[in-house]
Amino acid sequence: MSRRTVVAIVWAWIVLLTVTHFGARSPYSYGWAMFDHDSARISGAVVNPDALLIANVTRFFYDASPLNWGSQEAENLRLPLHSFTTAMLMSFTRSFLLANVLVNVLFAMLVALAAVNLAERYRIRREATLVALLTFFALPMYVEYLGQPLHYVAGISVSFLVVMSVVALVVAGDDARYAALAIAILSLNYDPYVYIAALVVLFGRRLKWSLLLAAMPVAVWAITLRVLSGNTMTTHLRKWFVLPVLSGWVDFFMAPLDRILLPFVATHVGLQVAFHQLIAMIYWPLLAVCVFLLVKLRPKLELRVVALLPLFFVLEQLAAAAFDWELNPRRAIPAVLAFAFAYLYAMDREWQRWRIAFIALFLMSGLLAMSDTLFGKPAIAYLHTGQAIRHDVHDIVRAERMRLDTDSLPRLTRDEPITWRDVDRAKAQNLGTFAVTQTMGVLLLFGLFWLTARAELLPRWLPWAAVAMWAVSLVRFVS
Amino acid sequence: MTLPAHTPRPLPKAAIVAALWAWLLLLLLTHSFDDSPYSYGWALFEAQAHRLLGAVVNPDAAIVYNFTFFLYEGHWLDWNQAQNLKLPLHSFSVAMLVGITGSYLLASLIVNFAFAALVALAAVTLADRFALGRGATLVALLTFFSLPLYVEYLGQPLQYVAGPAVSFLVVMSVIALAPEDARNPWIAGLATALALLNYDPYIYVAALVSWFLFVNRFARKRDYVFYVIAAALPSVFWTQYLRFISGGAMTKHLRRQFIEPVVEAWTNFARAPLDNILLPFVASHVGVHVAFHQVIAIIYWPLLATAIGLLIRLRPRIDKRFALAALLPCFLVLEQIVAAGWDWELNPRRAIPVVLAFGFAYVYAVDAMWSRRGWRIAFMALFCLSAILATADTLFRNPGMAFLRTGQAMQRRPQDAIGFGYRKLDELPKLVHNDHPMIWRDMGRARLERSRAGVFAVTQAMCLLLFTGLFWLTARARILPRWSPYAAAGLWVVSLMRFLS
Repeated sequence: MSRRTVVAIVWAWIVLLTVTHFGARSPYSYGWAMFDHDSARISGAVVNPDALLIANVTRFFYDASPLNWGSQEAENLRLPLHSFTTAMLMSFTRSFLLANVLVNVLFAMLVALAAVNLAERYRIRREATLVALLTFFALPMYVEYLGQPLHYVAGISVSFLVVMSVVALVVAGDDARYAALAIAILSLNYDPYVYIAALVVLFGRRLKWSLLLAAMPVAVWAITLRVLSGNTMTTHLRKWFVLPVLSGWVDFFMAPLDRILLPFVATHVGLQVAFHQLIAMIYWPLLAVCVFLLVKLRPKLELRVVALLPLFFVLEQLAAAAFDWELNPRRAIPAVLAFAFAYLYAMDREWQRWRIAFIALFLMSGLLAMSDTLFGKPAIAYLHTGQAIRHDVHDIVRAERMRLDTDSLPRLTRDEPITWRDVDRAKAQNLGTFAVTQTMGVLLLFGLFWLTARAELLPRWLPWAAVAMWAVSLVRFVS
Repeated sequence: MTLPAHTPRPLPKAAIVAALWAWLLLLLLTHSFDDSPYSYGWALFEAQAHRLLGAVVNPDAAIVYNFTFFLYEGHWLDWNQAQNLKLPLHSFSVAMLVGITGSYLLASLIVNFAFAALVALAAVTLADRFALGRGATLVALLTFFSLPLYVEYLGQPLQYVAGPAVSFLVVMSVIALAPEDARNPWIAGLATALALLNYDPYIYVAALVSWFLFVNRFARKRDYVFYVIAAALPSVFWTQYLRFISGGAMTKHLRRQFIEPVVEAWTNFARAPLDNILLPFVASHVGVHVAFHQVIAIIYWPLLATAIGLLIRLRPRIDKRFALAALLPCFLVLEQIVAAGWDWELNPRRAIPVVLAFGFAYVYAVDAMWSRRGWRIAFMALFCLSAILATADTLFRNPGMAFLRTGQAMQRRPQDAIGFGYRKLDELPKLVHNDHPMIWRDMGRARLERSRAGVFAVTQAMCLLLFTGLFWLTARARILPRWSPYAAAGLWVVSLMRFLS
């Protein structure tokens, strides 16, 4: 089997998942109806209400349209790559929805391509690579978000590409030279804590002053946002997710004897949540087989960064889950990447004996990923929700009886005729703001692709192609 | 100058056993009745515990009390409340001791302590057999007996210490049996029969049957038939006998509450698999989640993490005998995969068999790493942690740990545990205290009505057979003294004095 065939098949699978899970058919859209809530609509397509926030940020990157700095929507400015890329593609498609879908598919495809290239580097047999990647892309994080105009696929992909690049560079002996860039990109991306902690521990003292260099972009961007917003930039995420955790632990340290059981109880809760998040994001039979094979094969831990990801994920949950109101399984995404490495390794080593089992596991994963499309049942989507962790576990079994129709889910909404051309020519306004934000976006995008190209995971011309594409995208002001 | 080689003298076995028994006694004294988490746990949920002879107990204790009275003197029994008849050893032992002490509460406490102490003695003897270091054995077993299983139930007049102890003794015996005995179908059948007529037997029985049939196979084909007969006969006899003496009125409470919902759900699936096509995955997802939660509810997670980490590191070859212990967690997960989706209670007690498997793994791991100073300190620190958690309610009047072991903890928001961790025992509005004084002498002379003499005799004979059978098995395996079955029978004879004075 040629490398191209592997890539083509995986890409086709990604496209199929996107087409079958767009708009009203996306679990992140119809999921709201399972909890008796309404989804939102953008240009006729049913979307998760969070997408409305992204739309404004993307518009900001498109032509520096005014933004409500104090509202929750501005939070996504702290992770600019998704909206910047979508805005770029909006210039060509003149469609918010289409640009989002393209960005999701493209980033997922880039991860697939990079993964195949990395597997080649390790001389993993191609059949194993194919089946492992097909299984990987059948995991909930892709099914759930590929069809949503949201940052989750792009954000996840950026982190995955960075970690894969670091792995490839470390193997190539380039070691810490690019760590600062990797950390800088991650720090301006979605949910970066676990990845950054892993890289900092991996490189440790070798980072030295380059750690300051790594912190520079995020500091510059934070100052830029503060200046642009006139110091009114939202602190919504900090208030909702970071402060409660800090407050919980500060309370403990203020009166440790009064709350003496807190360290144990909080870590007990954290471990329980971490496990639930993990099996929400990785179908448990895959996880069980992977763990079993790892115990059996007992590989040498050459890829320490991969092992550090689940470790820091668990540590994060031990510290934070007890005070996290949302308990979103997305927190486990770094562990999903580690799982992918482990599963691919185990599959390659045991391909001769276990291949039927691996193929069966892929079929099961494919069936679960497509269960809403094939059987009109939303139960698998329920498993990936924070509610599944916060509510009585028996609710999960009750959710199995739900069907994707209004008899079962009265608040279920359907797509209206979709307006595929909903973006006008960009207005030349706030040019200073536009220039600053675009510079940051281009630098980040270039940096990401330069790193992956340097690691020989993606083509060498990709960073230049990205810059060229951005330049061409300025056509948005012309017609 | 060289120092003379110094070999530390090993601790005497008696000292280890004494230390473990002292620890159990301390836990018993600090967690009896209103101090028991299984009593004050009711106040956590704004409900009231029950009183029995002035002692605050879990409401389930009333059911056990009636059944024990039935075994004491063949007293009339409400068959609708008689589910504990299917696991008679605990109440039989209590009834015997009531015959000697004249006190139900005291007899219950003695039985709990005695069974836990027997497990400790058997464990030390087994560890000696495998030449494990005594220091390691002591620290590992002190840690083991600090687990919630003991803290929660030692001070309750309930079957939850004696029941698991019987199962633990059976499994330890099977592991310790001489190879020819382990392939003797009658001895194997006795072990399985004892597990079958005990508390929550499914996982133990599944593990024992799998082990005897597929791992430690019998020599002759007919041995399999003998094994099935020996294993099933006591249970079949006892079930039919109960049906007979109850006139068919024997309660089906447990079956209705726990088994039928599960069977019904899977039957519905089998009837229309396409309509419920996601059920196997969804139910098993719930099962895996619940099993994990149950295990960390009943084994403090740092201990579990250490044991798993060391097992992965040490990678022991699982001896054929210890495969039996390894089967226990496998069957817990299987049981929960099948049942948890429809189990209204989700009680962490389901994971008790895994506690035994953990016990084996932990003792092994502690022994293997004991020679390293760092690990020795770590194991002692883990014991201190376990002990503090076990006695947190006594030391800090904090009921947070009790909440973690409840089925409710699994059915609510995980973070609810934090709120309970902030509470103080004395601030719980529905907290009740023991009466002063409690009634320590409540049983008069036993009176056996002539019409019930036959039922009493058969019941006693059956229970005595099981009781002496258990001690015969442990003695045969040489994990308890050889004279223990005779002592058990002697105790029963002495207990008949309840009819005399």
